[in-house]
Amino acid sequence: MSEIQDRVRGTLPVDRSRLDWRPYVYLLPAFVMIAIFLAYPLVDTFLLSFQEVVTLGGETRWVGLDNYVAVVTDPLFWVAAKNTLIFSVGMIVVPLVLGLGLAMAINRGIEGRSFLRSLIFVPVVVPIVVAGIVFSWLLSPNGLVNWLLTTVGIIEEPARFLNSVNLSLPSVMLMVVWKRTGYYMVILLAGLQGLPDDVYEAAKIMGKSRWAMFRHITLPLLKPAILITLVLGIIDTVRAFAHVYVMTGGGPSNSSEILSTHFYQVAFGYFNFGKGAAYGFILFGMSLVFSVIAIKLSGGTEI
Amino acid sequence: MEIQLHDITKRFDELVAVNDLSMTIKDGEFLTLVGPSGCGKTTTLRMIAGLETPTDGVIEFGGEDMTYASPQERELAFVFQAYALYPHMSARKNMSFALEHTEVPEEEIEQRISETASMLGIEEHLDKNPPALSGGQQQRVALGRSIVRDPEIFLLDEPLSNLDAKLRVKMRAELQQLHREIQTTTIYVTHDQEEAMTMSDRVAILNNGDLQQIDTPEVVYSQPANRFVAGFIGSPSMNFLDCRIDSAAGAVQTDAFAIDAPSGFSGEAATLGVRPEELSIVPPREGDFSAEVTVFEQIGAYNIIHLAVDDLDEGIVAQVDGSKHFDPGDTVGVDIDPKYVHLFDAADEAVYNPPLASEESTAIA
Amino acid sequence: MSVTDVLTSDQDGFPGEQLVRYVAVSLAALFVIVPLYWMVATSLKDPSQIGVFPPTLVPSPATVEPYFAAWETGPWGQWFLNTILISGGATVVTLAIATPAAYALARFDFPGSNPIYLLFLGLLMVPAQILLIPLYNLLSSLGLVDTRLGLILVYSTFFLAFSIFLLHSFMTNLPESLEEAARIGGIPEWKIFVQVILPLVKSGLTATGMLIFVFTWNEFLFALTFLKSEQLYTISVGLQSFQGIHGATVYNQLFAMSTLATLPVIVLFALFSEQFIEGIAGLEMQ
Repeated sequence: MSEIQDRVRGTLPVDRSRLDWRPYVYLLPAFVMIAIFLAYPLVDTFLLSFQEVVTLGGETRWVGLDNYVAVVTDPLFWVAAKNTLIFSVGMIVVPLVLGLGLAMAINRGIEGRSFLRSLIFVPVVVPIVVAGIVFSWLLSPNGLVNWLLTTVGIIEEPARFLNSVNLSLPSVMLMVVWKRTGYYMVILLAGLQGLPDDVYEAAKIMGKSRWAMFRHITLPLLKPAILITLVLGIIDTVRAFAHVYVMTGGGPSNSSEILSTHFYQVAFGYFNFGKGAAYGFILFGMSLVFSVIAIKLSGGTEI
Repeated sequence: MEIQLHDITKRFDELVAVNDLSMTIKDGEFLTLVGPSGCGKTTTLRMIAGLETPTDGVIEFGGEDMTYASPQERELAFVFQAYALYPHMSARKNMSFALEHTEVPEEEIEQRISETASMLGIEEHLDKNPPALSGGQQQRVALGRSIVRDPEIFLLDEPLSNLDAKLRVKMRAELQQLHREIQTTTIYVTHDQEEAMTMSDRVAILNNGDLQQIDTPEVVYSQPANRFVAGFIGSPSMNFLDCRIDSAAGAVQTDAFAIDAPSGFSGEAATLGVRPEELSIVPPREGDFSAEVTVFEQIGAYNIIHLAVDDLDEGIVAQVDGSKHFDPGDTVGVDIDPKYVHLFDAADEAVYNPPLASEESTAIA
Repeated sequence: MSVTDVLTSDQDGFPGEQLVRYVAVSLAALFVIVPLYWMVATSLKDPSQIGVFPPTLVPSPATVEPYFAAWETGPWGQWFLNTILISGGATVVTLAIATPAAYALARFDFPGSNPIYLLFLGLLMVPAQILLIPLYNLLSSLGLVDTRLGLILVYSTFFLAFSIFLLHSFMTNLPESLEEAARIGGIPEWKIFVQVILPLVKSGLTATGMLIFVFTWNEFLFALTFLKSEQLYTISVGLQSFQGIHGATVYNQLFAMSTLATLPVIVLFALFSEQFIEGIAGLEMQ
């Protein structure tokens, strides 16, 4: 083994003779912050999830798994879960597909790729509250969407988007698609630009159709990028709060209640922190499980 | 400043990079650590520099134990193979940066920089940043950065290997001149045996973490301590043939021919070594044996011929005067002078080497 | 031949491909622009033009009156100030802590470097909700609920792992042996970090700082949870509360303030779009 290879670029090799204190000092502030603001509260709340807050002064008593059971047996929980599942289509699936299509559309054959990329990315940096507010008004009875639909003749009267039980969640999803497509597009664009040319050339010489090339070359090679966005999308979906909170508040009749907003209500609405804590861990567990499933389904990959 | 290494060992997990190495580097000498990739030379240099700590052993600078001293404490200069210049600082700043932290007054720093810059021929590049400089210029800045510090010890890690061949030869001469002027203890690491031979007061050859031999270039060339050194030093490299000693006949017997054993030699040997220039090419019927020319390389000042010999599996390489010319297929005679062969035992240790040109003895390494 | 040539050469492009491409992109651009245009346009309408059906597409006359009117109706100046302080503070604190940590992971090889790296990676995946209650409890006991400092610390913790990763990728690309040369030169460790390493990762620091600033500027859930008093609200929370209170009647003012809230972020993005996108895409790739 070459001595030069022994040394990774720019790093000191492992020096077993004497422990090097330097990296640990540099890492210290980060560890302290994480210990105080992450590790300790996490453990503390884990314990809290098995307790119930009995007085406003913060006294608690142990109730074992009661909190967890309470959360899971709450019918609203399952409504929220179902809604979250539907919501994930708007958070993940649609932006991913649209993002992929757009990435492929602007990857070649069009001028101003850089400008287009930045333009379509703009909604990603718009504050979520602003996006929620704007789309609330776009979809209001006097809003632009209704005006378009009635003018074109698809419907006769302005529809109540945010106020309808059926349409409230899809309305939020529309905003979410607007906001997230650019994000996926940028990632997939970067992935596309990293694809090797020679494979395509070989395929073309073999006479493969464009569709075949897409299915058998592009998609598999993009798998790592897609997978990462999937996993992050799952986490984002569980995390999504303002999207619904700002536009519909979860209503009407919980038709747009998602796990995150329901959690917030349980945790802070009634100040039952024990239950809220349990709920939080349940959510964490869910995102973990779904992420693992996604990774496994795609055949596993190194992180 | 004299440097002493006592039983230095360096282990990286199971890999033993340097094994029980002891040597003394004399004050003011130019010593080269040479050997193939992975032999431990760079690791040794880095331990002297303090960039690595020995697993075992002691390092002394002028009698003071510096084994565990940090690089900052050691007051030596190091020229890196990849130059390691600070990209965001000008050449001038690169050179002054280390001095700014010492008690050296500003005017003196300025003066040292301009002297060194003119010595190295980089005055007009002083205000440029490294990315704007060529490889050779960067190399000189890296050298300059070390020189201005007026160190007691100068360490260089394959500083010329990133340069093209012509520049390399030129820089070699400049480095030698520099050493003559500055007279600082210098330890130089390279894998190029030619560099080692031309520049050094002494050469230390390492292989697989073990010190093979440490001596002047002349000795290392003419009296290699073992088969590895014999084969590593010298280009084209020494020819090796299996042999055995026929003590009754006083001969060295190979598969294809026999020659007289060197006078005064008694003992066993398993390998016969002959340098290409120690082979004499003579008319076909004369000489110790005959051979057929397979390849003729015209170098100019001298020429190389590759020979195939009956009953010998491997070919032999011989060196002849530039005026001699041969064609593939020619048959020639080969003569070997017993005094100028090298004999190695079954453990590849040298048991016979020719006397040095400057001495009279038959050294057994 | 590049992918470009292969896939656009006429023989296997499907008919009208260019047209489809342009249509798709145009639709996307339209989709992106319309809501934003609506926001800005409405912010310039006088009250008579809001709430009418069919909606007025172009404000006439265009007036900046809503901006001033809104400023009277709510403590917007205070809210903007809060947001600047909090986002700026979070950026500074996060960078101060993440940069040395990234340096250690990128340029040193030491026992535990891999597990620690993986640990930070895992932290990236923790959803916000699980932290909400623990952090609320902790800040409560520290008396930091309803303070700007509390929120800054929360944000810093939250964005720490992300920043470490981003900075890490910038630092591994530095030339090798840089620190070794400096050490040999007798330069103390901290000076090496400050005068050699930091200047070389300036663009990385900028990109990361930008991202933290924008993310915290736009953030809602934590701000909502940890800030109780109206005068401490960030702009996002302020907008939401304004909508809740005043809603339908003055949405030209609401949009005016929304525009103001979005403007800084858009400007930053316009100036640093390269770094933004590199940062996000690069992070995913890691």
